[in-house]
Amino acid sequence: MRPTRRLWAIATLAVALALLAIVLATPVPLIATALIGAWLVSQLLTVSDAVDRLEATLTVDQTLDTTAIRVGETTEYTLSARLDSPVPLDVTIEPGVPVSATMDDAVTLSLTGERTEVWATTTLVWPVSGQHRFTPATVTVTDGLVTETVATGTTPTAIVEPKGVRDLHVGAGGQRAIVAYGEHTTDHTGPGIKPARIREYRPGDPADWIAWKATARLPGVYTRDFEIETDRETWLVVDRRSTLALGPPGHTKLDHLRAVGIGILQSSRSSDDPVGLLVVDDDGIEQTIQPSTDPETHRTIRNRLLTLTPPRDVTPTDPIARRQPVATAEARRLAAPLEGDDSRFALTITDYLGDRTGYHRRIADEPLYGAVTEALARSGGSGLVAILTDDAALTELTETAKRARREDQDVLVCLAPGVLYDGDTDPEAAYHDYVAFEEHRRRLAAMGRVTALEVGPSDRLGAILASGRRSRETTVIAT
Amino acid sequence: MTRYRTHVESSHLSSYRTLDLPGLAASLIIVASLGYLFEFAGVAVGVVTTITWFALGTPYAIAVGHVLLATLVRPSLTVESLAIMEVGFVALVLAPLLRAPAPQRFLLATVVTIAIVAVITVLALDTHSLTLAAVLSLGTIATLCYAVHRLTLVRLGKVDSGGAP
Repeated sequence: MRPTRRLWAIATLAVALALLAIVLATPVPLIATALIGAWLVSQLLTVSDAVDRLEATLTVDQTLDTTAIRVGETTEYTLSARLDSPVPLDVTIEPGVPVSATMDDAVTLSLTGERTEVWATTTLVWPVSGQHRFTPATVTVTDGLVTETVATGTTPTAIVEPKGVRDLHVGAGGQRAIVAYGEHTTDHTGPGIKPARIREYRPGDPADWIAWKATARLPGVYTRDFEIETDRETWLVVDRRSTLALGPPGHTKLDHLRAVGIGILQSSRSSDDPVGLLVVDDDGIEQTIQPSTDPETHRTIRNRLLTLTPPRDVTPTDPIARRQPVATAEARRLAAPLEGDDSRFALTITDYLGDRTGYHRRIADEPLYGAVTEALARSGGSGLVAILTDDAALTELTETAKRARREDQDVLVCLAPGVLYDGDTDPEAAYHDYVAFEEHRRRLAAMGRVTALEVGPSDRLGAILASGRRSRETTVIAT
Repeated sequence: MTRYRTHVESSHLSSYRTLDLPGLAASLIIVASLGYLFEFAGVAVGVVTTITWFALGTPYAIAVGHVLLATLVRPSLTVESLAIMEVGFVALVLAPLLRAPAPQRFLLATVVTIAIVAVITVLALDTHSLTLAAVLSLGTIATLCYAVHRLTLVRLGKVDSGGAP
């Protein structure tokens, strides 16, 4: 309880009366001090009891009309308070709105006199993405002598998504893809829940596996096999290197890949699968979160995804930043015309292209390849490696996918092709770039256990494909 | 824009802002008892006390009444006269408690407080030291107020129960 100025005034009065008693050498003013003290104690006891009753009977609710919002959007926020019966105190209720939200008008509820129910609605603006949890409402009660503060009420959480990825396209060759992500069977049978098949009894099978109905129908004893269902460990490998900054603000490659990453995370959560996160930047692995089914880990990964930004100090299109070693097949193709050429240039190039040890070393030094290798080293067996990156380092990406599938992993590659984010490119040239990208994507998708999908703004993709169709029609008419 | 809505229990409206009858009765007791003891001067002190109570509240009425009484009281005042003089003021202290949800509890607490302070004051006066009596009275009141404060914190769960570290 915090004393008000009125209480201090009365306390001063009691002390002044005691001093007066000493000065006048009469106990009469001291009797007044004793009576004022008794009055004060009884008043404080009354307030203490009233506050205790108030805490038991007051219901405070903080509600939002929607808890899933995009950056810059608004929500209707309602603060309501209800008392079972009136209390002899002035009660004010202040909202527990997170500091990241901006209120249109300040809201403060007041329950005075015989008022038992009050509510107010205002608009909240959310300028920052992330998960924002409300704090309990602050209830301040006073009787004029003391004030007391109690924190109470519901604490909703607002999830604010970054804006700009409403027109998300995830697919292959311009067609939207539906990626199934749910319960996973192992293609093995054994103890489980879902019946798989009936087979003849083998010595050692438990008695409760016996399929009694089948045994009664058929000669011999039959048992029931069950599908083994497992949790699939998923590694989200997110590339946040400089080239991922390409695109208008809020619509960059990383913004689109982030939305895909959150989608995968939500799916894995609903399937109760362990999920881990690896964030890759230009220097290597920036952050590792070990796979777990723990909701706290899911929240941490989600928050990290929501706050991911590409580095600001590197030019996104800097070719030096993303120079790539030459893959084996490509090296063979490049070296073929130089066969039999004894010039110094040819010998130097042939030596470089033939240096496969150097190639593997260079690839191993690449951030994405290194990140996936580390994820596989920590992985507890077969699972899914979801790589969210762009098409700026296709050689590295191909080798990374190969490395993952060699380790008995399914690989999901979500690619943000540069052509879908560079709005300055002429539509016809963009179509040719898209076709070239699509060839690479198909090559990736043709690898066993690898699913390669394109990620980008659907309107830009639609425009590029429409330009391609017009170009083909013009060619047909011309011929 | 903020939209506010409120709900008022109509069943309670009739009792809202009613006259403080127990306080008024206590004031009449003060006027009567002081009139009985000090005649016209006592009635005048009682009226001034009542006006102060109405305007500023109980603590100030007690203070004004006793400061004026200090000029009227003679050193030869008997215990019976003192009891008659204070009965109205004690009633004024107890008056608001009649409206409390559990009046017996608060009545008991107030009477116990008055008794503790009175006993301490009388014991201190026996040593013929008014200063000691004043210090002990104020110390007792401060301790009791702090005890109520701690009790409130415990009730609201704002302090640890004092478990093992």
